[in-house]
Amino acid sequence: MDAAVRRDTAVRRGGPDRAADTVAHQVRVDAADVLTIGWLEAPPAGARLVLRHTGSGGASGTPSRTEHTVPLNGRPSCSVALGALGLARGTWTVLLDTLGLTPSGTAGSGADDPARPLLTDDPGFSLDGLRAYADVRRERAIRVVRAPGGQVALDVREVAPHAEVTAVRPAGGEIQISGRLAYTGPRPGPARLAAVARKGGGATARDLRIDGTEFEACLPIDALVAAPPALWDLWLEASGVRARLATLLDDAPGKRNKLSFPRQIAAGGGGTMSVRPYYTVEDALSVACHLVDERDAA
Amino acid sequence: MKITFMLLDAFTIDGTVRSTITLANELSRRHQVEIVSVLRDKDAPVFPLADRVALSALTDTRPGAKVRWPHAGRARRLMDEPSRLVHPEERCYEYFSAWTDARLTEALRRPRTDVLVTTRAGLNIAAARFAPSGTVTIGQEHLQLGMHEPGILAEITEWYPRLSALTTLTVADREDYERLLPRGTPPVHTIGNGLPERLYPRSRQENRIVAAAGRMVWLKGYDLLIDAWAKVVDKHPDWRLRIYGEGPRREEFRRRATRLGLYNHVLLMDATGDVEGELAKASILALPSRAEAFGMTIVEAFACGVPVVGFDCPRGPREIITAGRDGLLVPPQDTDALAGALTRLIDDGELRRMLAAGALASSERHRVGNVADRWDRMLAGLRAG
Repeated sequence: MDAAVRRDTAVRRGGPDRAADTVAHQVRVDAADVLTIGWLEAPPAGARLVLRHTGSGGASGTPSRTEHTVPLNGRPSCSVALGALGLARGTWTVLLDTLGLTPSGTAGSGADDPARPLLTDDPGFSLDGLRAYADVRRERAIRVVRAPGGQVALDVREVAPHAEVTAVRPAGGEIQISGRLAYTGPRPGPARLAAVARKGGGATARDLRIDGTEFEACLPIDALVAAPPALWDLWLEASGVRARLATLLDDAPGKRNKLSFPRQIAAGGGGTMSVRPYYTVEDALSVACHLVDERDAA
Repeated sequence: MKITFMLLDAFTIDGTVRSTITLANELSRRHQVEIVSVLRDKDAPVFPLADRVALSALTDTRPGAKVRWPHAGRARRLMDEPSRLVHPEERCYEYFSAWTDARLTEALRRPRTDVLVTTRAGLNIAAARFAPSGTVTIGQEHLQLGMHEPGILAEITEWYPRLSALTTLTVADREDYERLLPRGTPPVHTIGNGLPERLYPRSRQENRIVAAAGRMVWLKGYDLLIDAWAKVVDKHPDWRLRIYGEGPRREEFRRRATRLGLYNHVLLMDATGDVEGELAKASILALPSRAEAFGMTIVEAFACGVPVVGFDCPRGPREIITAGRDGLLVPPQDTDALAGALTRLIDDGELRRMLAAGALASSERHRVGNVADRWDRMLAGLRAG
């Protein structure tokens, strides 16, 4: 590691109050649920990594604390197979326990607690990494979360399969959708894109093929405008999987306010209709079809 | 040495407030520092203030706030009367009143400090008029000279020479004020805003994201950026633009992105309390501003190891960005050139990583510790003189 980077890291520790902290330059969880932490300078010999979960406890409501400790043995990096730890759902704070080898500060969770929050300058994930992580079949996802102050936590949550949408192209009387199945693993072969009316029970489907986890779907709007005006929820049905179309892996929740798709106008059984894909409040992809005044449509 | 910063309203979210609190926090490691806010309507400032920094207010409009006996009736009466002390062309005139006039005059006549730093034209002029000669008075100009109306400009010309010094954010501003004011009265210093001391996240240059951040207003030029982005995605459809911020033009910008077919390529993100955390997820910061007094976002991007591609618009950007070292500059409002520069950086990963390293190096000079050193040098010179 070149001296300039090392000096810079030392400079950016945040002043004298945090001078004793060692900043990790890498904190990542890979697709195999291995947590890798790396430092430019190894933490003091004898230091340990602590994963701490604070739950709401039992019926008494008293907080319960679970910890996993990993000795670092003076090395500048460590890898922890999180799968073997069976981490409970929720937030696990990651701490560095230097066993009093450096002065214990107020940043610890208690005055006598030698473990201080692990700090990092690593944003914690890449968008490609999030997608690669979701390419593997799993029911539980672990993600690194970096707080604005640099403190590290692991977010552990249960996940259900969904069809991650990466692009939507509403044009030419069709809605083309690209994406990949998330948390199912590869499901190659024939599949269907189903549009299900939220009220009234209408449904329409189109065949498609899945290549590994990737899919390309095309929904002609004719089928939608032939039915009464409705909000259509989109589902991908593959071998043994029924997955809602949604965009959840781009680290930008609340897409409803962040982008809008154009509408297409088409004549249907009941009159002229506007057809527009949109994101629901849960970032799932749906299509809104409603009647429009013909003059308005023009 | 005791240093007093006077803000119009220390309790609001505003670039001047943020940079003043950052500087006050840092200087309080070395000196006794207090912040005096002319107005107060909240219990605590939005930006974190060090315990070492004393905070007080001249007027208090929080519910239940008490005015010191026997002034209560007078305060109520004067609060509804317009200010006669501050020029009506002061851009925040509406926040001043006859009551702030009374309190300001009183405070400035007996400042009980060694160095009084005022932070906007109305306060600078008042300090020049009323502060005793034994107090070092420093006026800060966060506004470009051209933003002042003629009436207040005349007051600036008349009273600023009585200040001990004036500070501007850019060299261009300093030159403007030096041209306006008689030679050397007061001396004008350029001292930019400082980056707070903290652990900045560092971009790994791994996400195909270009970020932009700021108020969604015309001056910020996001319409120009969206136009340029349409050309970028022709060649790089897998890159995404994320614009962070709130403001009156948000809807207009979103419609523009939709109209240009960029709904898969542009996200209008909410304003965030962790700008640096978001910038560090990106690989490039775009700065399409039509004008920029300083450009704190540039400095923040540098601190996160994110190079900046921007218009060479008046003031800040051209003084902060060194083209080819920490970013690229293109002619103002030239969307083809902006698209070209963004495409060049996207194409050339090696150049991007080199500029990212340069950006990190450039951020050093803007660390508030270094900015405070410049303040110390200026203050030492003034007190010796």
